[in-house]
Amino acid sequence: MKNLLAKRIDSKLKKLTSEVLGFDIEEKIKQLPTPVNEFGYDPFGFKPETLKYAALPAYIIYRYYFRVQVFDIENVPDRNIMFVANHAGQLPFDGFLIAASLLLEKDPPRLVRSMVEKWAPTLPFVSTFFARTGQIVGTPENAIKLLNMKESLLVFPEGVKGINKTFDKRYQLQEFGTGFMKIAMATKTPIIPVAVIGSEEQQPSFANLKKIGAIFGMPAFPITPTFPWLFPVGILPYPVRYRIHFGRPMTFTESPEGDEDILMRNVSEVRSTLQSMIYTGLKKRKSVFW
Amino acid sequence: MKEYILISGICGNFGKELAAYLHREHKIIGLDRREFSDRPKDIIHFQLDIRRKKIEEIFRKYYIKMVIHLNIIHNPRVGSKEHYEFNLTGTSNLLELSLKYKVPQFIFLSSADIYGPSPDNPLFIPESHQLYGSKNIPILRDLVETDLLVQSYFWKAPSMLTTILRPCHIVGMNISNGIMQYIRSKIVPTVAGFNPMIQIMHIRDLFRAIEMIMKNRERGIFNISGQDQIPLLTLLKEIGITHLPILPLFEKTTFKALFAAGLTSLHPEQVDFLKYPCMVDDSRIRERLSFLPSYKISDIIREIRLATNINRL
Repeated sequence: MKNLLAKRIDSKLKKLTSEVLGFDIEEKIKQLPTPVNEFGYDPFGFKPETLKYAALPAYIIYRYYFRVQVFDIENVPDRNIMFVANHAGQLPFDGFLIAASLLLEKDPPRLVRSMVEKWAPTLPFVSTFFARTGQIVGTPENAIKLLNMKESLLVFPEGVKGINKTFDKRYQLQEFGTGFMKIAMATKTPIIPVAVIGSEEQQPSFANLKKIGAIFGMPAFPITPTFPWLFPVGILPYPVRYRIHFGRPMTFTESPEGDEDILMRNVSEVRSTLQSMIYTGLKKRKSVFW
Repeated sequence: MKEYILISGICGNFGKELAAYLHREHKIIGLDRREFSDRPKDIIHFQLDIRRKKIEEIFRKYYIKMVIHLNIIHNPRVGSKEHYEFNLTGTSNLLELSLKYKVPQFIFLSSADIYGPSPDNPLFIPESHQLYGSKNIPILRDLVETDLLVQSYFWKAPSMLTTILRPCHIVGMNISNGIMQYIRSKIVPTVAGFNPMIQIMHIRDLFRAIEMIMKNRERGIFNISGQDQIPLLTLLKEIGITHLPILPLFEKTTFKALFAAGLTSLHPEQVDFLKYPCMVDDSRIRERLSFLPSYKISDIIREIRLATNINRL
């Protein structure tokens, strides 16, 4: 009885998803290059089949709420790749939308894996959801293993400094960490800079009251036009239009044991390329919402 | 002169199966404080405690070409003092005698558990990783220390090929180790909302690995795992076990009560194994020895299903 009900819900959901998306999501999932075992899991616990349940809500947010426009996605090769993007907007919708664009718009699709904070696996249900949808705990060993498996990884080298910055610093890249470059060089993975336009306006912050945030165990406490005044609705992003620009692959072949100067030079090269892509993207944009 | 392999802990199910696997090609001497029932005639057995000085007689009388040390207490119901004393003193005694009598090779069967389950573990832990097992699980303290004791012989006795094996969960028809006891418990508890990936391997694959290490005369530490990984709940479902999800809020008290009542074999300190991954990176043994596990997870599950059914009948 329970199985019958589950099967009926599954087939209804499949039909609805195909109608709304206009293509068969299961076919797309089959095209993902991720190797899975006889039970449908990859070594990290990702189960591609799970995506078919997440596809419909993801598509609605992607297509109808943020109305995402994607540029130069054909720059993404079918091999291991590291996406380096700018981070903004208080909540990480930028990561979600980059991942959705690569799954929904690229042919063949890619599933980009991102690195979650180390506390995420301590949360019941959330830990399992992250693992099944392909997210991994942020350790260098995990990243290296994943890239050696020809997977793609999304990193935000600005970290919290980027996502929590105030509106006066919008579209100005903050200081980059160097860990991503060490991993890219160690695994000989090309880097694709990804400029995200729109994230800064989804929840512009005028001040960050870090001490109050610390009381609630939050990395930041932004003051925005709607937060904390209209909590909890006020934390939701505004329906800005996102534009995602994929750059050309950048290859760095020097040895990871090379000196710090080479490492810093490479990091700076990625950062300046991404910054100029952001400026070009901003120039092309006619309106924040349209 | 006849050359022997000394297997300590030969009377456990694991030891018996290993002896059965090796005894056609090698001369075997067993050492265990337990009696060796249904012993094959070509195996010499000494019913002695590995902590006793008397075991020196074996080394004096026979030429031991290799010691395979399996005689480690893992049972969490045995008192911690006994654990500590037996595992460390016994291992130390064996190592000292091996060194004194110039035993060429010493293989110690440790465990991947000593890396410890943790939310911030690399998903595949390399041999070089710190042994954090006893950080949150004090009952693993003696196992960590025993592993470190054997490691110290890499430098103390460079002429002796010392090898430490850290396998993932070993399963097999007649095995009665931690995971098999957990599966066979009257109640199989899990923690609601957690479903970590785990590694299992078939005992025969481990024997093959031991054989390859013997032949290739490899030293050092080797992680070993099976072909694939599987989420814990999928494993239980495939075996056909109904588990009891415990709310994380009540996990400590519930697991304590279940353990005290003898309804589960899992010690309350070991609950993290049901929440966080503790999987090993076995690329070293794959690269150095071209070792590839031959059992698929579905084959292993079929065997566990058979083993658990037999026990429940």
